[in-house]
Amino acid sequence: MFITLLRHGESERNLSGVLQGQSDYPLTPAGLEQARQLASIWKFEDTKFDLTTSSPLRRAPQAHYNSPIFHFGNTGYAQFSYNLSTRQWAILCFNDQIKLPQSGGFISWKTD
Amino acid sequence: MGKLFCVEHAVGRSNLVNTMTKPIQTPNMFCITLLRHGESQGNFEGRHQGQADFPLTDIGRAQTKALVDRWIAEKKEFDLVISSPLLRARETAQVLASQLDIPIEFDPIWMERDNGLMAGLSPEEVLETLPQYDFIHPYQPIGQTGESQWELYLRAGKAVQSLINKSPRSYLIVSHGGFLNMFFYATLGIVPQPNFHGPRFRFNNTAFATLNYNPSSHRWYVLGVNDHLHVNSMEG
Repeated sequence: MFITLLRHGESERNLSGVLQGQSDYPLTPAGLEQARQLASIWKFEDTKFDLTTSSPLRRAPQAHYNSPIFHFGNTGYAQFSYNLSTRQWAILCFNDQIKLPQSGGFISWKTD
Repeated sequence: MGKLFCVEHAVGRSNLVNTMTKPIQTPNMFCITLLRHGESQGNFEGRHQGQADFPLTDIGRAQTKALVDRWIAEKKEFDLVISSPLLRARETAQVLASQLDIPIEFDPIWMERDNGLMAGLSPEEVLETLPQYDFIHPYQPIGQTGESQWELYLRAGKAVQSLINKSPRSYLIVSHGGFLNMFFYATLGIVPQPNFHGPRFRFNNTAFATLNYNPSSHRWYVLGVNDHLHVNSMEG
């Protein structure tokens, strides 16, 4: 069983820096671009999903953790597997952010 | 020397939400990259390596080269490389240190688990020569004479301590899959379980994880796990 946890892209209130909770704000143009970037990465990696479950909020609710923190930047994601016979969880990968091409990130790097 | 600040922070976006979830840029931040060595001869042959000393394969060297190219392209900077002295880690670390021009030191605390009599054996040889147990408690020596889960966990705790005793800078640690998993356990507060249960943090060959630690707030931040995109692009 494979599970991917994804944080929403940048929302208008991420940008203005107000605690959102369940108040509902749409994505910014940058947030939409982040989602497109992620889609292109997953296309490149041939990542496939059988089912997507999403928060009903236009963006997903933000969790608040005590220490330590898995830092989910906007469109950061984590991939897990759970083996139903051994009941073993594995953390397959975790990326806190999309690395944008202009910052020397991997999209430009791997398509050079 | 390299940069002290590892987390890019967009100007004008400092805010309440982010202080709760995002590493705050501070000169006190430890920036820690945990890297697993490239493919070794033991990996290639599917052996339990432990502290048995296998060199890198040609694939392992190519993986290391791909990582060098990637980090040069990304302008990645480290202040110090700290490596396990075992061959497979040593060779990986030496290439990175010389190509990226970083000072290097070796510390046996970062070595792989002492897996006792399993060292260097294939899974079949282990089945033939060593007793099998239905239940393995966390204090039980692995391979009859090796380190128990608990001993490995304690050593990882000491490794964390040895790192934090240094000044807050950007460190590249070159170590091993089993040991780096225990580093995660030690920083995230996961204790060893019987029968090797408990989550696994995947480390492919030359995959790396990125953690930040802020000593003023005692917060660990996990920024990435099992990043090995340079290897993906090699295969593609």
